[in-house]
Amino acid sequence: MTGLARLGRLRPAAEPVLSLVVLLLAVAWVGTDGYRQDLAVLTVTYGLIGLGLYSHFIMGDSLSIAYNAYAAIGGYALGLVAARTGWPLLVSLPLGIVAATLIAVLLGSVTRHLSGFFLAAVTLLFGEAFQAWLVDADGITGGAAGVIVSRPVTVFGHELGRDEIVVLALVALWLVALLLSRLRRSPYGVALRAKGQAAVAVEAAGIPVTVLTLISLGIGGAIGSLAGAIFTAANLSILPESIPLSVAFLAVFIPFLGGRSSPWGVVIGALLVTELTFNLNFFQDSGTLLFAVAVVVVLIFAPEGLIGVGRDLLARVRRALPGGAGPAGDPDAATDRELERRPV
Amino acid sequence: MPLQIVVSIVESGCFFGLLAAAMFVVRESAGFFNFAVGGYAVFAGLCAAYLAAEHGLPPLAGVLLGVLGAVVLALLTEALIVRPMWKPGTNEELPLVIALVASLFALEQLAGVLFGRAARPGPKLVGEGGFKLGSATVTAQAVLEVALTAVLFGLLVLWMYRSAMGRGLRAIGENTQAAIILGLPVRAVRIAAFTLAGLLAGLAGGVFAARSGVAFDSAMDYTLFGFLALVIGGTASMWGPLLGGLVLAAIQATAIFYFGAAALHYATLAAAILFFALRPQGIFMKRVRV
Repeated sequence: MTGLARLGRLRPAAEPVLSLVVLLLAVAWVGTDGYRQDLAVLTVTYGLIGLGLYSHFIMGDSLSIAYNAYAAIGGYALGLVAARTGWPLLVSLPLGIVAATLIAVLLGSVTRHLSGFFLAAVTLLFGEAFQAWLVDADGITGGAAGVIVSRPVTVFGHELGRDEIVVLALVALWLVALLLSRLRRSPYGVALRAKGQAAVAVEAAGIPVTVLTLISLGIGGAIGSLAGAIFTAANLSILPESIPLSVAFLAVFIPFLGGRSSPWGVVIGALLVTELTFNLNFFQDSGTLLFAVAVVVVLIFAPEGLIGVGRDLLARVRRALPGGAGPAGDPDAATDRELERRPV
Repeated sequence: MPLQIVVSIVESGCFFGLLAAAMFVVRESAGFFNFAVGGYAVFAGLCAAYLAAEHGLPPLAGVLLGVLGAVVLALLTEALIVRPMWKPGTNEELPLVIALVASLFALEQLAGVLFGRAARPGPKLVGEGGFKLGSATVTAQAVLEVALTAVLFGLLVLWMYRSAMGRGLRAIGENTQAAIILGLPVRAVRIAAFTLAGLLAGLAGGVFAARSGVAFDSAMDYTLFGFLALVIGGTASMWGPLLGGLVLAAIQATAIFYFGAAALHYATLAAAILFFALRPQGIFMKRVRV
């Protein structure tokens, strides 16, 4: 048995350890540099929204994309608690998460008979209507001017500065990706993925498909709300345009760019979208254009995303090594791969 | 409701109807919704407005160039995205749909990069004249829009029901596998359908731009409203898209008239949920919901 195959066996432990190393490197790289912190906050926001979508879209095939609304709920929860109440700001986090989860489940149950583009269209319209409501209901949301987070976030009397918030944001991204990666392999995750491929068969096996879907939508809404809360905590204000509808689009593309076979693909995709739309905006805001073109190119030439490309390269290296057999190492990983091999 | 609003409903309805027709022809020939049509319309409108404002081109030449650009973009969509990704008969249309949505986004950004991100007034193809219809004023622009829509839909119906290629298109839409086995020119028909989609969306974007201007980020709204019009009207008849467009425009205008500007989005959402829940086949029945 080669070293690579042995590494494959260690995969369950390797995933958290390796990703933790990457997380520590990321935290060290960001440091106290303001510009890098901006990049990190943007990556975490995109990454979390993408992970929210991952939970029901990539795994369960329900393309519900009102993520600008969920993120705005998380952000406004923080802003409104800061502006209108004397409560500690940390209270806003569970408030926002519960509200976004409820709305996601409500929207999901109204649209439970829809699938594909029809679901996408309705949820997109919901996102638009929510955006319009944020501007319209200025008595509640502060209208187009939004709300300013005037107090610092405190944890047991300790004030969190921007440096700490950025570190916490990176940790949150790592934790959510790790949990989703675990969830994906759990019985629930397997049922959800099977539902994405053949809902009728799952229903026939005695698993209530609607409940399965609603739970995944709720998880997505909660993660989306967390994204909005982090974005707002780092920027100290929230307006209706802070989280535009196009964010929902970017979030749909992110897993396709990074790779759909794992939540880590979302993190890679989020890094890329930040790099393309923020860092490489060298030519008249053409970053978004570059990003959209990159998505189309990846979808045509590498349907499994960048992770798929990496995996193919790794498999080639393995085959080239003497005695290196393909998927023999880890039976769990082998079944996993079979589940993932969707004929795209 | 004032008569003026009815005139405005007819104008918007024609616009949505043309966009829906652009989606309709692609759906009939290939079985999927071409979400990029909003991108073609925005490209044509912005291109025409940009050429007229920055290079002093006559409005008609600008619109024609814009429409040409839209047709080229539609053909590029077919060649670069649909051809490598379209797999009829499988249930795996998701990557193709995502690629089309990504190209909608890319087209919108392309128009923004090429022609500027500021909203522009559309090129005026006709003068300020008009006539009185009861209490309402019908502008020359409105007459042009309605006439264009009528002519385009007339030609489209003739083409779909009378020409060999139009019948082939409907046959492929009905049963793609059988059409392939029978040796129908599936690719040629799809190219024709995409050309038509570019033409219809481009004309809609170019000609209707004079009504309320054009901005690069309207592409998604155009696609959504065209899609909704198609779903409301149904795909069983060629007139479905037009009727759906008029119904959608009526719902939106009524909501704005009674409840203010923000109601546009609430009413559109409500209409979408109601139609999807109660009448998913559209007004002209045929299976729409997947």
